[in-house]
Formats: sequence, C-alpha cells, structure tokens
Amino acid sequence: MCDHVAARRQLIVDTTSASGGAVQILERPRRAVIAATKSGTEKNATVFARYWVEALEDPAADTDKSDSISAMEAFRYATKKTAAFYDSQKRLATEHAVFNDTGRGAAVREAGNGQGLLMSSFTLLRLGTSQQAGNDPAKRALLEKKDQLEQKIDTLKYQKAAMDPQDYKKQLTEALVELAKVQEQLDK
Amino acid sequence: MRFAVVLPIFALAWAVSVRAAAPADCWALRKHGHSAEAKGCFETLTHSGDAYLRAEGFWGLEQWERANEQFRAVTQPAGSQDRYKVRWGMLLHERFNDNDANGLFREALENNPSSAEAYLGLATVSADGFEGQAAEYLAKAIALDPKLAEAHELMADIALSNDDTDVAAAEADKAIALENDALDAMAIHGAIELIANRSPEAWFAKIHAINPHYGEASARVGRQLGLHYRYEDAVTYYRKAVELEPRLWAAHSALGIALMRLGQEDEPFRELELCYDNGYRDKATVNSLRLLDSYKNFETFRDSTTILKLHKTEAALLRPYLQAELLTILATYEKKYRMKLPGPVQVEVYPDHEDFAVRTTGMPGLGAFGVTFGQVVAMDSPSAYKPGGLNWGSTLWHEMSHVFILTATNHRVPRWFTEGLAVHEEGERSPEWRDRLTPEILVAIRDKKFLPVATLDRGFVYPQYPSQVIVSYFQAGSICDFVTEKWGEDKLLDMVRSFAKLQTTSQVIQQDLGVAPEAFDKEFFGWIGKKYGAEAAHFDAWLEELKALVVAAQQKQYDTVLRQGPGVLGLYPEYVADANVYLLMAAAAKARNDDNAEAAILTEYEHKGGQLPDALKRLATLEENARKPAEAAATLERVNYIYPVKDEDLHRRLGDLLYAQKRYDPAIREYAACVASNPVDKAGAEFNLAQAYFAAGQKDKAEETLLAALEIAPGYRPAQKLLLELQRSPAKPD
Repeated sequence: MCDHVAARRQLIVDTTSASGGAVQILERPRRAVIAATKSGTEKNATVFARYWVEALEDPAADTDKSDSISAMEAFRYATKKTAAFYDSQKRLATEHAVFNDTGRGAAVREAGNGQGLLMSSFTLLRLGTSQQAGNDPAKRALLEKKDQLEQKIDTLKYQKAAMDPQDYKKQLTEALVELAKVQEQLDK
Repeated sequence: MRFAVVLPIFALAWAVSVRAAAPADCWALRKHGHSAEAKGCFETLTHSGDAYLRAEGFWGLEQWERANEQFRAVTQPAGSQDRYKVRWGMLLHERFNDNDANGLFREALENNPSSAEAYLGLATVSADGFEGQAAEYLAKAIALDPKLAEAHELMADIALSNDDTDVAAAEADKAIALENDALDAMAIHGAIELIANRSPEAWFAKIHAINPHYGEASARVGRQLGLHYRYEDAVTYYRKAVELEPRLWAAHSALGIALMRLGQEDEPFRELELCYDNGYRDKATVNSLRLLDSYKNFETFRDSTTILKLHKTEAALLRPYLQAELLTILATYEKKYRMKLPGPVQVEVYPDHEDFAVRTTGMPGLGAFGVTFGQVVAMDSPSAYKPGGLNWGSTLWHEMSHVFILTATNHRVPRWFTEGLAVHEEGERSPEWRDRLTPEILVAIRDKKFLPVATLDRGFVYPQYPSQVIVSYFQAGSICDFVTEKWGEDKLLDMVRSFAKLQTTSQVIQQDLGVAPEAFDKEFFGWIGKKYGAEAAHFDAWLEELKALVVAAQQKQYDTVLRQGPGVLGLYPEYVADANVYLLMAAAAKARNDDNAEAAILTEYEHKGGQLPDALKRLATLEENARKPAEAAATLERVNYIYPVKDEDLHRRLGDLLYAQKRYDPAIREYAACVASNPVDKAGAEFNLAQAYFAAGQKDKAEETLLAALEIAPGYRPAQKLLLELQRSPAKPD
C-alpha cells in the first residue's frame, strides 16, 4: 500500500507489539521504518507509541535546537523514555524499538554505518519560524561565514579527543562566540 | 543430635580405641579438642559396613559429598530410621542447604511425630532466619525430650537475642545441668556477662578447661554482641574464635562481615576469600565477596564529617542532595543530643536492593531501606524501588538517629528504644514522614497485640506473628512520641543517658519517668486507644466501605466517589497506600474537571504523607495553574525526597519554579540534577543551568556550562544570546 504513495521520502512508524517482525517487509530505499519492538517475538503490549506522541509535543525532543523535531530525534526521545518507563517500574523491558532507513539489511537500535541519515533529515515538526535570511542578498556573506563556523565547530568536535583540552576549549569558545555574533547580525 | 557424654575424656579415648567407634564418641572427641583422635575415630567409621556410620565418618572428615551419598543410601529403603534423615538434614544445614534440610526434618516427623531431634532441626534452621517459629519448634522438642541439652542451648541463644536475659541464663543452666560439656550454653553465659558489661572470663575458663581450642564459643559470643549493636566487640570475639580455631570458616566469614560493618574492605576481603577458597561458600560469604567486588563501581566522597559512597551511575545526581541533608542532620542532632560524633559518618547508598540486602545478612528486623552499624550507614537508593517505594530523606534521618544514639550509649541501648527514637525523629523532621499507621498496625491495636514496654525488644528479633516487627517499630516510635508529649523531649535524652549507664528498660521507665513500667503501659495503651481506638474499632467497616468506593471508581461513578469518599476517609485518614480514598477522590474530581477539588484532596494526601510521585507532580501542576508557584515548588521538593532519580522532568520543572522565584541556588541544584539525569535534551538542560549560574553571579560556571550546551547545539539561539551577554557584561548581575 505504501509503495503506491507518491512521496519522495517516506516514514513508517509501527508501534504495535511484534512490529519488529514487519520491518524487513516494509524496507525500501528512501523510506525510514520504525518499529516498537526488535522482532516479531516481542509480543507484549507496547508503550512506545505513548512516548512517540509525547516527543512531538515536547520541545525537549529538539535536541539540536534547530526549531524542528526530526524523526531521529523523536525516535531517540521515545526509546529513551520507553527504557526509563520499564526501569522505574522495575519491569523487564519487553520492547526494544528499532529502525531501518537505508532500505536494506537488518533494523538497528542506534544510528551509525549509514543508518540514521534519512531519519536525521526527516523533519516531523517545525517548532519556530525559521528565518529566511537566504533571500536577503545583504546577508549572504554572513550566511557563508555561519556555514564556515559551523563546519569549523564540527571539525573541532571531531578532533576533540586528540586535542589538548585547554586548546580545544579556547578554539571552541572563539568559534562559538563568533557564530553567536554572526547569528545576532543575521537576526537583526 | 544429643550426646550423653559424661565420661572423662581419657576414658572415652580409651574406650573408642578398644571397641567399634560410635559417631557420638567421635563428635565428642572433636568437641573436646582431641582433633587427631577424632579424625582417627571418623576414619574408622568410614570403613564401617553401615552406611549411616560411613556418612557420619565422612561428615566428620569434612568430605561432604561422600557423607551426602551415604546418607542418601541409608535413607533410601522404606522404613529407614527417622534419625538418619534428621542427621542428613543437619549435614545439609551445615552445608547451606536449608530448604532440603527442612524437607528432611519434616519427612522425619511424618515417620515419627515424636522426634525431638527433628523439631530441633527445624528450630535450628528457623533460628538462623530469625523466624518466630523457632521457639515453638524448640518448645515441642523440649516437651518431647526434656533432656535434649542442645534444645536448651538454642533456646538460650534465642532468648538472649530477644534480650530476655533471665530465660537465656535459665535455659543455659538447664543445658549445663544435663551435659557438663554444654560449651555453647557456657558461651551464652559469657555473652550475658559481656552484654551486662561484666567479665566473661569465668565462663571462658570453664569452656577452655574442656576444650582449649573451642573457637565456636567466641564466635557465638561475637554473634550475640553484634545483635546487641556491639559491632567492634563482635569483631574482637570473632578474632578470638579464628585464633583458637583457624579452620572455623564460619567464624572467618562472620569476622569478614563484621569488619565490613565497620566500613572496612581489605581485611574483610581477605577473610571472606579465605572462606571461599576453603569451600565455605554460604550465601553470606559469596554475596559479601560479590559486594566487595562491586565497590569498584562506587565513588567515595569525603569531607571532615561525612564519607559518602555512591554508585557511579547516580553519584553526580544524588551527592548534592545527600550531602546537604547529612550536614543538616548532623547539625540538628548535635544540637539536640548535645554531642558530636567521634569521627566521620559513612553512608553507603545502594541502587540494587540485593546489594543492600547483603549488608543486612545475619541481622534481624525488617531489613528494609536502611541499617546502621555504629558510624556506618547502609541504605537503599530510591532507584532500588518503584517511584514512591522509599523516602530516602526519612530513611537517612532514621539511620542517623541510630548513629547518634549508639554513640551516646556506647552501643548499650535496647533495640526498642533506639528504633523508637529513630522513628520518632522521622516525625520530628516532618509530620508527613511520621511512621505509617498501616492496616496491620491498626489491627494489632484493635486486637491489643502491643507488648509491655519492658519486653518490647522481643517484638523485633523473633516475631511471633508476621507483622510484629512493623507493629513493634510503630509502638516504639509511639512510645517516644508519648514520652515527648507527656514529659517533654528532654526526657528522651535523660533516657539515653540512663541506658548508657546500663539500666534496664524497667529501671529507666521508673527512674526517668517516675512511673512503674506496668503503670506506664496502662497509660500508654490508653493514649494509643484515644488516638486510634475509634479507627481500630471501625477497621472492618472501613475496609468494606473502601471496597465499595473502589468499585464505584472502577465504574466511573464519580459523583458517588466524591459524595461517599469523605465518610470513608474519616474512618481511617492515615491510609495513603494502594487504592486510598485520596487518590480515588482526586481522580473523580479530575474527571469532573474540578481543579479546586482535585487540588484540595491531593493537598490532604500530601500532608498525610502520600508519596506517589505522579500524584504529587499532578498537585504541583494544579498549584502552578492556580498561580501558587511557591506551593508547587514545595510539592516538587517533597518528590525530591522520594524519587529524585530517573526524572529529568521533575528537576527541570522545579528548577524553573525556583528560578522564577529568584531562588537561584536551589535552582542551580535542580538544573544540575537535570543535567546529571542524562536528559534527552542535554543542550537545554545545560543552558538552563548556565542561566541559573549567570543569575547567581557565578559567571565562570555559567560560561563553562553554556559552552557545554552550545557544543551539543551550536545554533541554539537563546544560548548564543546568553554567551554574548556573558562576553559583554563581565560585571556581576543583580
């Protein structure tokens, strides 16, 4: 049925018990599939759906503060809350949510090895009004600078383990302050 | 097993050498310290054509498996002697298999209901588990065979554990009268002397005249000292035990565990490992070793007055709460008890209840939540329970009261008094933490099951009915409440001083309160009757009406619940456990969209000590909606004492409320707790903390925390704005 939906990208969220058993059947390129359980043998009633919905209502799910909630953010929010539910109730967890967004292979529980890219860019909900600064030619230079700073910060974070902590902190602070200033000018 | 050994030991050795050995003779040789002769005697038994004799022989040679095989063989035929099963049961008990041991004792009794030895076996196993049935089994054993000296020895041991010194001495005397080598009875006498602060040497001289290397007597004394809070003295006697009898692995194990109670790790590990390596692997030994091994997962935080040992997974979260509370407790009790502790108090907090349970191994009582060994407190973490299952704050106040009272009395205080005072202190800290008047207690009041104060200790160690320990805690706490109400709180301090001078409960009541114990009981029971008599009398009616209310709630008859609820509540307002009226009415009010009514009933629930975090958090929401932020914050602060773990939302909400009220320091505490809770929104949590630091004028910490937020989410605009503000305004904000 979903194959007939003419969408460039798809997200299927199956929150039922034993839903993990359906992942492989649903897998397609450019389609992300989320299941509340890791296999068809986890047959108990699930609570994942409760926390999936909660993720869409709770701004805290926007962990990268991009004013939007991606499928990956919602998945992480729901899985963490589901695990906490079983933990606090002193019950053995009878559901372990998984996903597949590469269209091939087994479903996984965490991003990595190509899994998670589609879901990370799959926006489910926009929380704020994103600035359309890109339309203003006067601000293009600032946007370019912002991109450069963001890349620099990403590179710094990547190199963190190999860097002297003081040096890392200094460079990160400088880059973050610079980025904040650029954003301030963009927001004017 | 009973041995009619009255022969002089030389005559016995001669007798054994010239005729076929009997098990009793071999065991007697061992008991008298003739190890080599005993070993020869047991070896002789192993060559016997009789499987039973072989079993005893292998047992004596500590070849447990072979002894077990022989016992299995000898008990296989139908109609085998019941005493074989009893002996097999005793072997299994010695080798840590109490379930099968009990089964064998019961099988023996099926064959022979008059087997005193089988009842003694059941009593031995029950006594190890502090079960009240132990005394009943012993009474049966003694009735069937009044000359069973071992039964009298065990009865003496139980009586002393129960602080019934007169009975303990009398039973020990009976055992000695029956068998002049009743060494364990002599040990009980030694323990009685020590507990009364007198020298036990005369008794030890008698013991050592019979067997100079009898370590079991010292171990038995050590156990009794431990049961009477004399933890350091217990170690001294366990040391004597292993010195006298280096292969007494049970004493090595007890020594290791006793040293753990003093907060040590290295020597206990050596002692317990020694036991393990020598095949002594009972639950206590193995679990204690595992616990010691798990200490690598704990972090220790020290200051001049406290040592806090927390699991790494929750140390960052719990430390600020526990440390602050500990300092408050120390300051409060130092003032109240007019004393300072001689050194830092160590508090260990276990997120796994099974780890905590290891710390209470071999201890009587509830074993719930917390235990104190002098200056060492072990307690459950709130994460060991479902939300609402434990109030760590009241537990800490309770245990710390023990620390002070044990110190003040030099560990010479009756159990009822230190427990009662600890319960009383919980209620002093907060009326909401007052000991719960649970249904079992109400029934005990109705059925007049409270004990006279002079014998109240007996309700703690070997309970005579399942809920007696809980009832005794409540009674003891209520006695301290009663004393405070009638004579003033200072009288409790006078009583502490009198107990320190080794006065008995009866003497203390008479001297400090100026009333005979019997008259005190009468007055106290009257006081309890006035407070709870009506509730106790209406207990059955309350139960029926509560059931009807629950049915009405299940059928969504909300008007009925709201109309009839107050009446049911009035019958027993202290009940805040499962299916309580408060929450039934709150749910009904919520269904009727009546926020005011819901908030009112939840407030009552809160003030009666209701501890369900979800209900309290709902109340906080209603209070926030009603623009009562201070009340909402106070409600969430209560939740912090109950379940501060695994709840980032709690800390964020409370932090927001406190921040809005410009209470920046507690807001910092809450936002830091949110960060330590490993929240989903890490950047948001760090930003909130940075904001609070900034508001509190702690610029460096604010910047550090802000960088943590922006490292996670570099484009986080509120954080960017604060970063620029920090960069541009170095001056301290107001």
